[in-house]
Amino acid sequence: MNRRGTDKIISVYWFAILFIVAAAVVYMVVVFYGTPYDVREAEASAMINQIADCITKDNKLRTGVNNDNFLEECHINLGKENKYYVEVGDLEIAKGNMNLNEFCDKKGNKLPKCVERKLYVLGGEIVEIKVVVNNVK
Amino acid sequence: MKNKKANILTENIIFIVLNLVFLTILILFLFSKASDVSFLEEKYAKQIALMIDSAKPGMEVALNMSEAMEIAKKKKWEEKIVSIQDNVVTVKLHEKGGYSYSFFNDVDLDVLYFYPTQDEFKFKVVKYK
Repeated sequence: MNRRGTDKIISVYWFAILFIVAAAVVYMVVVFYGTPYDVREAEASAMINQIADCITKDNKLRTGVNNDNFLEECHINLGKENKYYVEVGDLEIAKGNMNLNEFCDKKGNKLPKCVERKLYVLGGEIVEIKVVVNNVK
Repeated sequence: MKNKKANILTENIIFIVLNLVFLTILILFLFSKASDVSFLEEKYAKQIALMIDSAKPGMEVALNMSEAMEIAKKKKWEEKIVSIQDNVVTVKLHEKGGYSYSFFNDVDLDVLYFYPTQDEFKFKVVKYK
């Protein structure tokens, strides 16, 4: 039996397996470190908290906040890049990039993040606040 | 006979050396990715942006950036590490780097820049714009 020939073939297989394992490790590392931190849900929650504080006073709905003065009253700057969409159901407030609203029914890590919360106020009213964030880089 | 043994030894040594070189390259790659500066820039930019989003007027915030300071010193970066302009936070730890992230809270801050002279980045939310 040609033992040296067999040894050479085995070492070729050995390097091929080593290369495949190394390629898999490199791929996993690149994917892990290449994925950005996703803080969109935290950002949406912070915005909902700010809106909730803004539209309520003494646990009741505040009068005087409407679609026209919403951003100034609640001190929110949606920027120029259409990364946000905000909707407050009962007050008929809708600001930002309305195209982001359609992503609320879809699921996916790369899609805009949609967060909805219900706010219970005195008087039995339930106010729905929806925020969609597409702040990615 | 001796020649055969010498050949086998040489082949085995080359085989082992090639394996070691291969593994060394792989480990160096892993370490370089783990200590990548852009990862840290992103982390700090998003952290500061989220803190500003959650803050209210009168709040003072202090963020420990000693890790960022060390890296900026290693990279010999003496310009602004953190800058805040037009509701965008930018963290830069070396000349060709930088990560920006926007925040929605329309507030005025008392400090808009952070240079690598202190370990803590302190800022106060003064008022709403």
